[in-house]
Amino acid sequence: MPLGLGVLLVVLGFTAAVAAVGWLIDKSAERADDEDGNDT
Amino acid sequence: MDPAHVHLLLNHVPTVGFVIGLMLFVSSLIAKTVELKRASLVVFVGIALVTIPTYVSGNAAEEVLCAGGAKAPVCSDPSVSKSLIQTHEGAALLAFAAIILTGAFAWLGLWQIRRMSRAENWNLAVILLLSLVAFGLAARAANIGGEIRHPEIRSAQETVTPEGHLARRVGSFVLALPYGWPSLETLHFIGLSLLIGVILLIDLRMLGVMKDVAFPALHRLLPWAILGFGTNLVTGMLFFVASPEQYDRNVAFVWKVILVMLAGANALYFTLFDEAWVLKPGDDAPFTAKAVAVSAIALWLGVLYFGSMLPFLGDAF
Repeated sequence: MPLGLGVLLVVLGFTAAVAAVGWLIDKSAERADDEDGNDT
Repeated sequence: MDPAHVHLLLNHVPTVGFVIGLMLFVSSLIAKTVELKRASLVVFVGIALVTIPTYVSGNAAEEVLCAGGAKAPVCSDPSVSKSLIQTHEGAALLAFAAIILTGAFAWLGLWQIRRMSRAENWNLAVILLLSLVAFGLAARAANIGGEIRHPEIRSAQETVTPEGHLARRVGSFVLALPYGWPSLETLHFIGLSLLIGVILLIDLRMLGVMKDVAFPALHRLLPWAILGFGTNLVTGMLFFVASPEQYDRNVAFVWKVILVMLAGANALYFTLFDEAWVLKPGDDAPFTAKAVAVSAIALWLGVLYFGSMLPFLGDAF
């Protein structure tokens, strides 16, 4: 596999995993804010 | 003080600390007390931060016992087994991963308590499970570490573990993979941007920039900073495990680790204390919050500085 493609795949894969975790945490905060009536 | 002394000073902290953290945490679950829960979660986060220098100073101690460190085939002192040191290193890497994961979920619990006045049940279950596993792994790594210099606790046959010399295998894998190091470098910069970007937003708000923004809105971004921190911890540790002799006696690395610990502890302020949380749009932050913000900026700039200077200070690279 070419070096550039390998780096790109590793970086995209890891970043997507981090983004997914961040999105899940943010959604849980949004849900809790809605339940508590916080407007943030 | 030599990094080998630091390892001797700190190597009991993860095991003993987790006993204290676990007792507090289980008590909080039984008594259903939020304050006790917060205290136990702070202990887990604190132990996770202290585990960073505990792990990395281990390789410096190895270099004292066996000149050449991880690359030396045998130790100059015949009573010290090189293989046992690397078994301890592998066990310590597993324990390190479990402790850091426990610390991350404990931090999330603190963030949830700040935001929702409770930690979610699934997170409490994960913290309980992880902390038990982490305690077991830390105690095992500590016991194997003790066997290196204490013949009175060694069994007739040298201790072996299922993971064996895990740290050396991971290190060789990172070095052998053609795109391993450049991928980690790229991810390290992505993590850094995420971390510093969010931290700066929060700290600048404390210092009077964007006063129209209520603090709880910025607080919601904090998990992204922790994910950036986690990304950098994973990638940074892979650099270290791949080539420990480049780092363990490098003065810039020693300062970077010290500042990372202090900056990590500093970040707890915004999830623990009320002063910042109650700030509404237009409110001026209290003096304490401003002082914490200034120190956070200084500490992270220090981390950036010493990280960039790794190849230039000392003679490790």
